[in-house]
Amino acid sequence: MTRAHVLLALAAFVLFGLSLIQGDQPLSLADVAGALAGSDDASPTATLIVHTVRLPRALLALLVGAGLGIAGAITQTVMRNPLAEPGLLGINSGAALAAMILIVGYETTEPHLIPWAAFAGALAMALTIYGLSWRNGASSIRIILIGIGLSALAGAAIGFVSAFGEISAVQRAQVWLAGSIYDARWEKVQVLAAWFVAPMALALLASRDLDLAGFGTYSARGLGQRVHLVVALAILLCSLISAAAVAAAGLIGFVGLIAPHMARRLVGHRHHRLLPAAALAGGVLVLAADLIGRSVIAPAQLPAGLVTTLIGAPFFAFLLWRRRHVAA
Amino acid sequence: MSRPDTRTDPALEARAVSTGYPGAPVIEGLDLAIARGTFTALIGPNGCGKSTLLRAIARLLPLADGAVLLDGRAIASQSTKEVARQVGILPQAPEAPEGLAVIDLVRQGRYPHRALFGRWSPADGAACEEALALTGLETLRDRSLDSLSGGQKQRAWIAMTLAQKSATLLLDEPTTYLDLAHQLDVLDLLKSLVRERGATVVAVLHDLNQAARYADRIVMMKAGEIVAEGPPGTTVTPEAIGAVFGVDAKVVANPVDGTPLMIAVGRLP
Repeated sequence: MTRAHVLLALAAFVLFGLSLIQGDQPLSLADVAGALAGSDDASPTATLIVHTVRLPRALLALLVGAGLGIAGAITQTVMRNPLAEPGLLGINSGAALAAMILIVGYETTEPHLIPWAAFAGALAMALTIYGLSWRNGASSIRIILIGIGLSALAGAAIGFVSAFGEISAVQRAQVWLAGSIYDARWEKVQVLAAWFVAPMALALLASRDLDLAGFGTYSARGLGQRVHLVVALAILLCSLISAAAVAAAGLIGFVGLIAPHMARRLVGHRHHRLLPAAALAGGVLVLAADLIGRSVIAPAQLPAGLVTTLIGAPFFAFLLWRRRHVAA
Repeated sequence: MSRPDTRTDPALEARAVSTGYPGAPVIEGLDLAIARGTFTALIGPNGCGKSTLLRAIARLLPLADGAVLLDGRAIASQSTKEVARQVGILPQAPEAPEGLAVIDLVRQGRYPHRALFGRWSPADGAACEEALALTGLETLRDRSLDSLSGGQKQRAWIAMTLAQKSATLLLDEPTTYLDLAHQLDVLDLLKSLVRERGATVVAVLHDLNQAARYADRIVMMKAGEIVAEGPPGTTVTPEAIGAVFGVDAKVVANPVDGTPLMIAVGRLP
């Protein structure tokens, strides 16, 4: 626990509180506190709003952000490329495509089923990327280029499914796909948390192996690491986390790119510090994006994914610009 | 100075090793024994297979055929962590994550000594401190690698390999890209590891005269084969240099310590 972790946690806490207060029906801090504490003199309206709408929504934003942040940090490490991210690599669009097929093709929004479909899609995508880029070892630049290509392909397939799907199902899916967490329900929060526990704990336990995976293959192997095994496991963990996040909130772009960068700036490279910081930073970003998205043109809402993309795309350009002198 | 009989007790041995890259075999059926407690220099023109041989010995490249023995036991039969506790390897132009601090690099050297979820032990800390002291990096420990000069960066990588505390060290061009003073620093360090700690060092070197001065044994390679092998006095000869580098050379006794000193006269026709 460093000071940076405390600051990030504090930022998340403040945004979380604001998410409970802000909304179509503004509540006072006392209302929210009363509703949370379940005191008898809390207004029933405030209790209803906080418990059924705002609390699950804020929790979902926090969790989704944490997942995207951790998945991004792991991907950047094992690909040894600061521009890698499950979103850019197409793992997220693989998850989205599979979930889309389920939602539109089978007209279900069952929150327990969608993560499985998303995971199948994410894993299939990750394996395809890895398989296609494998040539006696998979170089990170090949993985990224193939990932971007497959990501575009999955995007086209999503468009195809939307074009021929049943209108109301497609509309429902579009809102989800755009990366919005307005449809937060307790059930979703529970499912997401359940999906996150194991892979996040494993990633944290494997933080020392992730530290070493950030080095070249020769160095890591020379130090006794089974490099391909570690990379394969890391990709599996990433697929699990990304799939659950996508299933819950659609495509929220660039958080997986920005959060790890923020975290690395604040706490350095070692994963036992980096992963918690990336999770907090991701949570802060999605909470902030959701808060902005539902405040700027209230009562209408912008999906959080739109807001993160508006912030994230220039950031990506900035990263590219800063690395303009780095040899490929 | 008494040394164990190295012919019967090699630290590392390559037996009939064939290796290379997919579709491009570099080495075929090569035998080499690395004497324990010696400094061996691998010498040869670009593309002769010396780096490939080093990587194959360090199990970084899969063998197409043959075996590498470590203390008489096949490397392939041991776990990769077990091997890493006995053999350290410094690859050519190694890469680290952007912005990594020196101490965080050096700490990686302890990886093979730690159990899967084992804690950082006092022995780990002591090994890192010793590695920093041996390479003179104590004051730079918290600096980011990107901010160091080429020589300091190379020393940081060597410190990582030293923290590994392996009896055998394999280094791929440890002096390339360093200025003369830093080249000598690295070579002196390697030599003292061999003399004072009985380490076994194998390094790919480019400067034949430095190799002749510092190494106990020289292995000269050309086109994937060993052309000459032995102490500098018997290997650094005009004939061998002509055969390996295609260079017309004169060899005289070094006025400092009598080791062979090569003067390249010109290319052989």
